[in-house]
Amino acid sequence: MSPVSALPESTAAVLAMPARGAAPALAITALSAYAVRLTSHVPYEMAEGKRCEAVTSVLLRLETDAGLVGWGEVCPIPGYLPAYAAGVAPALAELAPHMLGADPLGAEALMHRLDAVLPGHPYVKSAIDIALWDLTAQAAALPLYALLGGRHAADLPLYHSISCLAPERMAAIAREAQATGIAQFQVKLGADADWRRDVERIMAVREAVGTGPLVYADWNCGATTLDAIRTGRAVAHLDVMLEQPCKSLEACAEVRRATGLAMKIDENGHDTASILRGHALGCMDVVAVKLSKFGGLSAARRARDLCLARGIQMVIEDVWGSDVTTAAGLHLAAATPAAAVLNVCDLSGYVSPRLDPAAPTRAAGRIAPPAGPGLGAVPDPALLGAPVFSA
Amino acid sequence: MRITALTLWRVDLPLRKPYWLSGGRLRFDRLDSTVLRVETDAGLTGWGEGCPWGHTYLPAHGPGIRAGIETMAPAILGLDPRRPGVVERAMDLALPGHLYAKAPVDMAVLDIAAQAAGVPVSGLLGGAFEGATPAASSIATGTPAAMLADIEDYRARGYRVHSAKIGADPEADIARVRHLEANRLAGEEIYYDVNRAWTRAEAVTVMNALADLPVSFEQPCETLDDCAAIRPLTRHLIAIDERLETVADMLRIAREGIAELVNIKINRVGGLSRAARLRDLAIAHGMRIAVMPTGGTVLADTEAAHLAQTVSAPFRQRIWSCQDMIAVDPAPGRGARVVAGAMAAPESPGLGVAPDLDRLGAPTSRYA
Repeated sequence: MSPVSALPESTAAVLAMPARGAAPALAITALSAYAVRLTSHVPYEMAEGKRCEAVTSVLLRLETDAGLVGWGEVCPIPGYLPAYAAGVAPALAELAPHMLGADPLGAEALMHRLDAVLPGHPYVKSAIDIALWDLTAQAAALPLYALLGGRHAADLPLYHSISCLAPERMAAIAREAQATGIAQFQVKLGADADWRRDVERIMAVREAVGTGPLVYADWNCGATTLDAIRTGRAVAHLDVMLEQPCKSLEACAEVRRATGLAMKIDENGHDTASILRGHALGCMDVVAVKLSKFGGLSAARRARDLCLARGIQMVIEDVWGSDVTTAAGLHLAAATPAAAVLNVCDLSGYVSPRLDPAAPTRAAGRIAPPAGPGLGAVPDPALLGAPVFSA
Repeated sequence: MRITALTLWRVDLPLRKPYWLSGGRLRFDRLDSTVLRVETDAGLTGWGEGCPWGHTYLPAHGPGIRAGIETMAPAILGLDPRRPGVVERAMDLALPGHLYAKAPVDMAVLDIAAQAAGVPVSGLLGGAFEGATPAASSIATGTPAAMLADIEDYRARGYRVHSAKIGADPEADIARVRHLEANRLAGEEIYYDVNRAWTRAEAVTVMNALADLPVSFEQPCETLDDCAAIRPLTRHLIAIDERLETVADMLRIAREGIAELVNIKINRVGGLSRAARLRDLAIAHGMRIAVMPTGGTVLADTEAAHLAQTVSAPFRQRIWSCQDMIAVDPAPGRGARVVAGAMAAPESPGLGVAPDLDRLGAPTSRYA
């Protein structure tokens, strides 16, 4: 079925409006934010005691005068990045007066104005920006990927993230995921601050999945350069990549040099300047383009373009969350040349409840963005409860 | 000793005159300050304050301080306030980043730790050097004549150090600097503060057009990359303000020689404990230091005065305080005050100033 054949009446009404004029073709009339508790199927253990078990995701609903409704989502993991769920509503309160009545189309013009009202706070902006893109794509009656560059791939490879547990348990999880078609494995390290145990983890997973699949080991900033170098050199004879061992790009570059292993940067890659710096330091073979680190699809798209220009491979996803932000990441990934996309993540498959049971799910280790106009993920109102903020 | 309660007040601070950010950014006429009281089981209480300079200046806003402290409160309650480093680590684990929300907690904890030790807060930061710190005015962007008139007002009150805000149109900026320098008194200092408003091209154009004048420019461009790029293209002194937040920033500024002067705004860098580390690095690299609150009442001004007091004379450049710009005062006549164009930190134990409770109104929230 062609997505355009199922045009909602409200979309047709928007398309019938003049494209330019004194009054915006579309205006935001209301916004509501909802806090939803997402529980991980497997509690997620990371270095330095960071843990992701039950976290709050904030869902943002934007209404317009044409009846179109756009959705955004941000779900910070406590302790992981300078972002927290309780910070969303106070920032929305600053921004809401500048959003009500504004034209959402295109997303970037309004986001630029919001950046002047409240600098920073990219994680809050991410939810807003995703919802603006949802509205823009609905108004255009196109799937969101069509506005982000067009579809390069029918579906995208997933990685599976393995919580930092006992090495044999991690190997078993890797084999289970591999049986479902997964071919890329992220091995979390550092939860017990024992570098020899981390070596065992990497070797156990590497051996469990056999030659070929990608295995990379992630400290989430939790290692000293010494421990990261000892760990990396102990596995330097293996086909593995390292991820964000230390807290700064400079320290990660030291580890990259000393181990000779390829490196992915996550926490330290959060805007175009940090990507340029990581690339210049030679420690950014891969970067995690997580929407809420950058400030949404607009900012992540700029980072995507820079990575393409510099030959940096990308993991395109978000920090955590459910169907709305998963869908947003999949649209951006599908609209990026396939060779530059290392992998993506079905965050909504790691947590319950599913906010939109009709949203995409993994099949044979791969996943496709939603079809149909807009973002294509709409949370079930029964799961959202009363809004924590509305304007 | 254990921390038993955190109480927050949202305090509205009307400005005496509305303020336009340099570069034509938004106008505001009030500040949203958060005053924090930390209580202990030993009966000692400490005071902190966090007041961003409006919500458009930096990634910091009043409601964000209160939401941040609410999120961190469970990790702070029960800790010993005589161990500020332990409190700092607990906050960093509870909420990465958000330095501006941590600063008031660090301030109140040091207030208690200093009271317990029987020394002024400056005594925990290395100790007070002699002499009051020259206080700087804040001269809003305007016509050259209007800016000079503002400076004359401040002169009449004893100020000999001025921070003149420029950063609009390059030609107008050149005219402003020339007019103010032509009318500068002997012994008077004027710092030209651009607040990030120039592009690299504008910065190079203006600074080179003024190459004959011995003046300095503060935060001429948006990023450290920008400032580093113009550094070799001008002979003027450069100061970094907004883009100094962390030790990593300071190391980069120092090693790459991006600036000769730094401006440490305590709220922005995450509190006195972190500010003292930046101070040490600045001095180790021969850079002069200005110390300031981002905004706020005499509580935040006094915090800044303590840090300034610990900087030895060759490196202590100036202090700016917000007290003359706001129309309310929660501790009338008390704390660090500008006297004859200079400010000294109190010598009594702790911060040396506490607000009158009845001037704060009802608390906004309390965590115990």
